[in-house]
Amino acid sequence: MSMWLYDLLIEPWTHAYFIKAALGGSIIAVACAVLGCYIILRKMAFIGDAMSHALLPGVGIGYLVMNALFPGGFTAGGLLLGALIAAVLTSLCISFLSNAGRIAEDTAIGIIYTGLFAAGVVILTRFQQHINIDLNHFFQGDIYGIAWSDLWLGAAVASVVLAVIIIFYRHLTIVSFDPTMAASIGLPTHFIHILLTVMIALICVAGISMVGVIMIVGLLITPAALAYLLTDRLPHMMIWAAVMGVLSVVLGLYFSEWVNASGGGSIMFVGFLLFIVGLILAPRYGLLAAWLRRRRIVPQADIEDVLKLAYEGCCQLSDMAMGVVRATKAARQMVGEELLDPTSLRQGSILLTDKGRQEAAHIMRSHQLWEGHLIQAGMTAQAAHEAAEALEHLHHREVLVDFAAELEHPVLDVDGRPIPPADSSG
Amino acid sequence: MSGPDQSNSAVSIEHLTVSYQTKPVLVDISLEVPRGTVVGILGPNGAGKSTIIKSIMGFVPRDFGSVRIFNEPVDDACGLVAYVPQRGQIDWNFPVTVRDVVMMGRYGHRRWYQSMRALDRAKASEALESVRMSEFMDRQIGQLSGGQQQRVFMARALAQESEILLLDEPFAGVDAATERAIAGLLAQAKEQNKTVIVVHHDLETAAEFFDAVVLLNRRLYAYGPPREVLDQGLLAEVYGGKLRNLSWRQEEAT
Repeated sequence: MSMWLYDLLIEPWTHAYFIKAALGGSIIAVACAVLGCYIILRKMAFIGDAMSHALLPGVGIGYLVMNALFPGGFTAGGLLLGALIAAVLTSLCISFLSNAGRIAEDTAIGIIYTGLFAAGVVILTRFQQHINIDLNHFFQGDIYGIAWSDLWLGAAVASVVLAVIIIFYRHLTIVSFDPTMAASIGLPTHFIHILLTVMIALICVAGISMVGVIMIVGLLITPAALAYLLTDRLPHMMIWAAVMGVLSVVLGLYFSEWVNASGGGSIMFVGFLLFIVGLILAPRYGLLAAWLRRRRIVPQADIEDVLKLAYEGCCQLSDMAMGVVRATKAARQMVGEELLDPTSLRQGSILLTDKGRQEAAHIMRSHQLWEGHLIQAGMTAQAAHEAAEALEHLHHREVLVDFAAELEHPVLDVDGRPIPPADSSG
Repeated sequence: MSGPDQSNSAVSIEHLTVSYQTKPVLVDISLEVPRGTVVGILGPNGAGKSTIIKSIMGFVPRDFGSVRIFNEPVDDACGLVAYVPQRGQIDWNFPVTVRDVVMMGRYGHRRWYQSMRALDRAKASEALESVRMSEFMDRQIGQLSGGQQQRVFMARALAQESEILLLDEPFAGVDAATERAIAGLLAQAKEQNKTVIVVHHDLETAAEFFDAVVLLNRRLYAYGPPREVLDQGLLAEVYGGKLRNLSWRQEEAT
């Protein structure tokens, strides 16, 4: 038994490739997750996706140029520089195209990134023999094959990204939250947008060799989105995102070892599963919590029906037309709102408090005035009574004032019963 | 210079003309807002109300004319005006607390490499205190009522310690209690001799909130005390045929 656990959990860590993958993946995941918080808050997810693909021509040209200048060595710098230029160019092209005329921003993104990506594919396939970049590698990455140089590059880029976010935390936050106010206090909003773009490009270049272009977008967005469901404080969101990013990497790598599947794919698949679990179970913003909240809500119409019936003298929950279950739920809520007397409710009967009587009178008045109004508008008495059962819940003060004026301030309703006077407290 | 008492002028706009591409949005607008007044900007949709607000913040390219803030050209006068955005422009799910939002009012007072100081925190608390929102300091902004949200943004503007406040449609879609709360905040700002400029949509309430009213529909139709500006004939001209409903409601109210 313990041997089995050892094989499952400890054994992978005895291999250098696994340690390197976990280390490299975690470094990239942390930087991606923290940066990702701004991407999802600024609703830039599609731009992130576009950016990562549009890097390809930059990477290709960068590689060619560096190879021509320094044959055989130092291509990482060229890749980074090329990617940066491509990222800034992408961002500028998108904003130019979406401001130029009829083309909307999402269309512009779609055009620019497929166009640049296609250019990259053309360059890579045309200069195949000079460029040592495999398209398949660009898509999938090779997390188990990362070299120490990849690791160092990743660590350097992640440090820069995290440092920039820490230094410019205030600026990034206010530009994301209220760009108009940010501009009014003189912050360079455009520069900050470019800064964010450049950081996305940097982290993509560092991460693509590990997990590939599609999975890097996942690492940017999914852990941050999960964190967004867990908290509503930005610093907490960043920490949660980082934790979830690292968790995706480590669990994903385990998973890929156990089932013998691709590392990058496993990481993002586990990240996706974590998100689904969070989506369901998140304490406040999860689906389960929302469902429970909805179930607890008592329809206002039920409360008003109980009020009216109690006002008319029905005093047993079991006599309510809506059924005893719904009536009981409504009654419990009403005790909380101080509309019903709690001691009598425990004995199964309903007794209105003063506040309850006042509210009930308002609903009664609403019913009677609606009835009067509908009959005046040409309905039969029977139809008006049924319609008023539904419409009485629309009892905004102004509506009732209008009806009362229209009916010349009646004292008795259509059945000759007294109409409670208008509630002065509103 | 032809304007009235220049030294007392908070915002001074002369011959301001702004366009988007070939379409003029504001044409030859000239007006002076004296210090310590509460001014409402009224006009139909597309009248250029938001554009005039943005011009006063200095980030709309002008075709012609000038905007001066306390006699400084607006382009040099960065940070002299505090802006309270329209409700619809804010992402209420954004993970910031009341305290975070009010602290944003202090960002303009520090260089990018400086951290916030005790003074900034004190100013922020003071501003929150003055709108009676201190107890909600650690709430996420989406978990407040509409009126409380409006007060938080007002506190942010106060924490900025700007002499001029610009409010974009603060009364849009709020209930009667919130409306009273905002009106109270305007009065409070006026007491502190702040100049307040409010984009407003509701003609009926304009008279009770503002010292002066600007009637705008690309051109400046009128600027003066509300009673004079909200003249039926003039309103009909500015709003075209859309005014019948309003006059009906006024007749009924009397």
